[in-house]
Amino acid sequence: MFSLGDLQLGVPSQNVREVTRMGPLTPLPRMSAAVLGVVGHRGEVLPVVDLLRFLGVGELKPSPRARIFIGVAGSLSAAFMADSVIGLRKVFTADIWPAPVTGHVPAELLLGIVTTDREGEGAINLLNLVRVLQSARQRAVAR
Amino acid sequence: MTSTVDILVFEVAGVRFAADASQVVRIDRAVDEASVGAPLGMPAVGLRALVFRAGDGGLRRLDIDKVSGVKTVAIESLRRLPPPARVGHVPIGAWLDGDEAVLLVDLERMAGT
Repeated sequence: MFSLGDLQLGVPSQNVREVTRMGPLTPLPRMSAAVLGVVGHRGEVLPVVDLLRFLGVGELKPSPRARIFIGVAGSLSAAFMADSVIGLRKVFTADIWPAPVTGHVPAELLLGIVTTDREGEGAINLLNLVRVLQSARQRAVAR
Repeated sequence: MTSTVDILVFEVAGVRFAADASQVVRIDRAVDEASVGAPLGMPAVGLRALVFRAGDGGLRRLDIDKVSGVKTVAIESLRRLPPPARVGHVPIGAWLDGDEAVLLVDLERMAGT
């Protein structure tokens, strides 16, 4: 789970390879605003995605607590910026509610919504990272 | 035995780029001639230009800010750009200089943008 602006988001752990600090960012010319650039990470070049811009709900303001998590889905991988990483939570599939059509995050990019009993943790948007990565690729190709 | 390639590293608007050094005919002062536009962004000072030969045989100019130098790098340090970052044909890849990704551009292809 991680926070991003006013949002609390979750990603299935099998889609997360690593959480780390971001290295030097190389901006890309003619790239959509949601892709901030690329970083070199362990011998790999990864696109860096600002999920707030990608979801159309604002833009990330980098802070010292900011982290990136490396998201993977099949052959696709990308680094996603987060304001802060909350931690790992076990969620029962029975506790995942359908994503509301009128929510901040497009329903087609969500696996659903979960709520936790922990203080300070409200509704968590559970991202469908496979669709997020596929959508990021399609948007890049369409430009 | 490691294969190597010579790349010319240059800067445009504070961002480092690299190109196959064999594509560069000469490094020139920037002048008011038609170039390939600003496919890598607008140069901050634009005092230099890379002159290269396009596919049609004609010479083209890319205005840049400065040349950092020529480096001999291992082919293994070059990477393709991952799909969400692969847009059009500029740039075509990256050279990993430690943790920093320096974008590789194909000057000949750039002439067609």
